[in-house]
Amino acid sequence: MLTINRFLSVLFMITVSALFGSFITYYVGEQNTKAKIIATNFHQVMHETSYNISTELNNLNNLNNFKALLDRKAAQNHLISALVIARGKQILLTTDHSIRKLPKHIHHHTQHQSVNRHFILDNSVHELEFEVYQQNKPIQLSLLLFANQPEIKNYFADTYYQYFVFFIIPTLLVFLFLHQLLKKFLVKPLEKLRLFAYYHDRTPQPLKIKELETIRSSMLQTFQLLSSEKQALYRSSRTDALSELPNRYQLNERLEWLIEESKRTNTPFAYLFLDIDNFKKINDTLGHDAGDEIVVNVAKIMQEALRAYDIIARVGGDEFVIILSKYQNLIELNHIIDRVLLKISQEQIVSNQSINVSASIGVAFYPKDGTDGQELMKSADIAMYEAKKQGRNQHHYFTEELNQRIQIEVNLEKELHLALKNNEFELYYQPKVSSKTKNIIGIECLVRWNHPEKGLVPPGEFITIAEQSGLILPLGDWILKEAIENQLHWQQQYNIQLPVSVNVSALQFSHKDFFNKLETLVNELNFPANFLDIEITESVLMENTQEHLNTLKKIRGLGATISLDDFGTGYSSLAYLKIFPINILKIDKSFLDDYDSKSGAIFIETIVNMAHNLKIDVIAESVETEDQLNFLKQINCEAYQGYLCSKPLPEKEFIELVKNSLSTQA
Amino acid sequence: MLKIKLILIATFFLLSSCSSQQPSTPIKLTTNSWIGYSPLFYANEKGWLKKANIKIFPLVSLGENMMTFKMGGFDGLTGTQFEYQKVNSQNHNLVPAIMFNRSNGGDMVLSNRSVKALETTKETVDVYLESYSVNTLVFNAFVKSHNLSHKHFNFINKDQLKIVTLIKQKTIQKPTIVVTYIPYNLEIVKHGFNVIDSTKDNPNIMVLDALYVDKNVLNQRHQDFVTLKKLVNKAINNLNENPKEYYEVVKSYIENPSYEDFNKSLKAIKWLNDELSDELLQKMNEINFQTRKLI
Repeated sequence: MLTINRFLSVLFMITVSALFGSFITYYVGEQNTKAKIIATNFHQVMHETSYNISTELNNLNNLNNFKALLDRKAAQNHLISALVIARGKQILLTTDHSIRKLPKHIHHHTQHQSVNRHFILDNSVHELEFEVYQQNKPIQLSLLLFANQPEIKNYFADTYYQYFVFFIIPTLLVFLFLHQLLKKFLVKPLEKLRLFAYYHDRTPQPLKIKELETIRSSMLQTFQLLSSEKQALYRSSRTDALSELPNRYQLNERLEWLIEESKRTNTPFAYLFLDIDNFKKINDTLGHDAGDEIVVNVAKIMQEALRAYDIIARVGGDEFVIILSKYQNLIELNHIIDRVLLKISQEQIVSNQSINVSASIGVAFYPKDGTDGQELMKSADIAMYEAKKQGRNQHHYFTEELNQRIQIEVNLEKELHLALKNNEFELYYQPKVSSKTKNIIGIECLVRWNHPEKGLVPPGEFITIAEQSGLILPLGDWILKEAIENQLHWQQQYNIQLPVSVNVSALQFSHKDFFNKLETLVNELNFPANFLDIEITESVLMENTQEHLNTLKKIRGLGATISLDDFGTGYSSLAYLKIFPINILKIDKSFLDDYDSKSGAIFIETIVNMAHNLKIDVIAESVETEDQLNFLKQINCEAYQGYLCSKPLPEKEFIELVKNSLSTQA
Repeated sequence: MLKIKLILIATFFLLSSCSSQQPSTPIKLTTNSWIGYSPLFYANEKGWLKKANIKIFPLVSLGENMMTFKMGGFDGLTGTQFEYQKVNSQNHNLVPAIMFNRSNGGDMVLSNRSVKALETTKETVDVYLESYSVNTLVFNAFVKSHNLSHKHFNFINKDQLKIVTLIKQKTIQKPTIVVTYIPYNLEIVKHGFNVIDSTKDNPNIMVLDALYVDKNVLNQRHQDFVTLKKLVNKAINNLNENPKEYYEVVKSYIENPSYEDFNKSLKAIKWLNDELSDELLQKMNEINFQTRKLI
């Protein structure tokens, strides 16, 4: 099938060929006409000349009298180069004396011969035989006309150039122009319409030609209508008509995508199955319209309570699925679920009646509780029935172990809140001791929780929960403030002034207000910052490098020092020691435990030497024996912490320890 | 769409009709001053030829006529059998189409001496003639009839108008012969020349005047020549019916003779516009004068 472009090209080629054919025919005709004019001209010249001679010449000896006539005829006609009168092969008279003998190829002139361009160009000498009378005897003579071939060629060439310039080139230009016009106003718009027909998103600009524009606008309207209907159909096929939430089809689609994403990033997500409690009873007592109203309300509540990227779908009459993929930890997840349940359980006005609605949620996790939609739904459904069984308006995790662990963590979080409120935290202090002198040269503050029931809870059991729940921020603030205030108090009360080290968690350090709070605290309490040491872990160096570097520099600018805690346990690069302004490097307990092996000793010595080379002091942690201390002395490790000197002590005991130490020194 | 179709059809028919109405090329004929061709002059002056799409080109003499025809661009010429054969000998293909007349004294030999005096004279006799015309035939027949072949002749080859001019310019004492035809004889006889022989007096001389046409042209446009033949007949009829009127119309073509001379000249020819006698046809065949294409 022909394209419009090819069709036009063929049409143009045919038209141009036909026109050029006409031009060529006309051109050849004109050339032949010219040839005939030239031939007639030669014919007339030869006949007139020969007639003049034949009527005037009485004696052949007087032929020279006609020299003037011949010269004139040859000179007047630029197409003639010479005229010659010959008798047989003897030249009697010539206008060109360079012609001494007759050429071999002579065209004998007759009136009835076909004359064309080639005839004129091929025959350069024309001959006409005529008679003269010498007395009453006829003598046969020949008049030879030598054509001026270059002039004749130019004469024909003029026509050629004129045709080329005035016919061929203008015609070509006109056709090219027409072709461009048609291309612009017909071919390209048609091509755009064709593309528009295939790809509806490529809407062409309004077209110049009315009919094409009508087609374009009609297509546009049709496609817009189709598109809106398609979208509506697509939406209705994927959306629950009542709640306008995604339906089961869309849920599965998005779930498949999320499963693929989770596989790739190795990140779990939570699959929640929510069922409205006593929904049948509501339907039976208040009617199905009220039931529908509750479904709509619950859907709205969930949309408001959750984030835009959380998936909420209606999969049954009163059944919903929620997929939560972005949560920091299980505690946060727990909070989200509780928030949803709390909002649902608030009093609702349905059919002008105030009723209490609640829901139960079963929680399953991908991939632990199921690797596809069906398995996840089954697990979450089981968990949901467990929640119903346990009294409704609550959530339940699919695995009992997790259920219990989360319960513990949630309770712990609640207790931490109370602990902060009830001032149940207490600082313990562990001295930093000089390896050489055994003098106390500093203090590390360590938090302890005096649980009213459980007794003293070590930080390992609650710091993680505090970090997950965000309680680490107020707790960290309390520790910092308590440490500084106590230090000031000791100074005033006991004249004890030792650098105090405070551990700052990564979360606390990353907080945008951390430095401002620290600076405010130091300034408000008028605490000499050079007696404050901030202990951070390697993880601080690895996250938000530039921001943390700026914070560290500001802390140093304040006058405080920086200690890098638990050195060697993380994945820190040696380059960090060069980049970050670290004052003290604390060798982790795990290295000291292995000090008596050859490789362990080399490791510790290497760390100490490297730190010294970088102008960083070194403190060894968890030193418990004299042998360990002696080793540290050997490798010039400045200080240590550990049970060899003292375990972390409550304030009173620590003050006694310091006093004794000071008295011993004295 | 219907309108466009109608416009296209109308344009097509208009162009077609224009092309069909284009006039054909006129028939071009060369002729010369001769009383025998005066029907052509008459028809031309009356505008009949124009209507018939025929154009004539009158020239002064037979020789001029022949030369002009040979230059090309003409479909036929009037002339005697001499011109007819001369032209055909030069690669032409002429055929006699319309007979005009037979010279019956119209071609003649004039001299300032009598035939007797010419026979006896010892002097060289100057002979004025158009060598390349029927004059040569007339002169040869004259010489043969009067046994003058032993005489010394000095031939002076000129066309008739120049001969008349030369005769008028000088008083000729030498024995001189002029071979001429009507109407040039009228002026020459005024200068001491008398008719010593003519086609009327000499049965050996037959001079036929006709229109010779290219064979192809005659075939292609035969009907036009039939029309011309009718016009010639019509002109001769008018001549018979009203000679004076005829004379007034054609006199400028034949050197403006007097009405009397015109009437005399008419007697020197015999019209051949009607059917030709068998005797004449036989004679025409004898001199290779084709008659098959005669209209």
